[in-house]
Amino acid sequence: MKRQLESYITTTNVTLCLALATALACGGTTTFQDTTPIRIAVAPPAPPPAPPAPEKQVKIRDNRIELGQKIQFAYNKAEILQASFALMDELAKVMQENPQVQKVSIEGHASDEGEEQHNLVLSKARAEAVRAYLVGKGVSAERLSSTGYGETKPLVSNDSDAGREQNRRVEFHITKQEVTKEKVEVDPTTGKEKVIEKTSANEEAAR
Amino acid sequence: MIAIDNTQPFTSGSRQRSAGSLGRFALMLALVGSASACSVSYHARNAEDYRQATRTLLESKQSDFTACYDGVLKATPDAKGTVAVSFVVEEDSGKITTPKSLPESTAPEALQACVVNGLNGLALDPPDARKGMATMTFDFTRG
Repeated sequence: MKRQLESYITTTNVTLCLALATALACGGTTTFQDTTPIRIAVAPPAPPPAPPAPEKQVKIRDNRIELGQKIQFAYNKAEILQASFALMDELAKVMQENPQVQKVSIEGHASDEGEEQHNLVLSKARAEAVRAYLVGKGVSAERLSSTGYGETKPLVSNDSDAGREQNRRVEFHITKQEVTKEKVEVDPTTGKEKVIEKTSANEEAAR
Repeated sequence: MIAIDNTQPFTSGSRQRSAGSLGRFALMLALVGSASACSVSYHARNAEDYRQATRTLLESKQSDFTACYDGVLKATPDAKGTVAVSFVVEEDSGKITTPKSLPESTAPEALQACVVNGLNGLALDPPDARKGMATMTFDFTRG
């Protein structure tokens, strides 16, 4: 009887201890820290769109080179202002990229303000200044000539400031160039042009 | 809850032996029941498993945190940095509660707030038998 009671008490104690341990396992707090960050990455920003290419200021048209801006000179001098350097550089680049333009006559013009003889001299000097600049930028001197017409060839009337401003100018005339002529035929099935004849010839214009 | 059947008096003879055996059986049954309630109904993870399970839960919501980042980037294109958070994982339910960003966070406050808000309502499944006290870090970068 006593043994049986002791046995029962022992069993009960062991069981209670186990139950307590189990209960403790169910409760409590687990503290943990993640040492490796969770990486959240998004795509890098798209590069900004490329700025639009600046509009070309120098264009070759038939027997002329046209400038989108006027070449600016110091007042009453044959000195090209810095504001026109970019334009002049572009002009030099166009000349180098178009070897078919073999000879160009640079012509200076003046308004009717001031002495006629002075204007003639100034227009010649300005045309020469332009030529010298282009030669300095690598354009062959043989391709360039310069002259001045003073106030003898106005584009418009000199009666207004706007008119006089328009008459003060430098022009570029192509006096010799290699002209390539292409005869083109449109393919009726594809609608695409096809060169069927191509000829080159030197054209020289008298100035 | 552990039930102990202790109502039967001890008597001599076979009846006593029978009562003793029954009592031991009842205790063992209670113990097994208690252990089952703990280990079958709820996980009792060790700290490493708890951390990993919680991390997996947060990683499963990566798109939400990315949306947080995208939103902040609209106003602050060069925003980046870390958001260190602490929170509690409730025992039994597995719900994340009381999330808060920690002072060592370097990301903009708007991003910290969005992350904290995103943690609210998440729940570990299956939950754990123990409460979890977690510290996790997010690293927000571009590219």
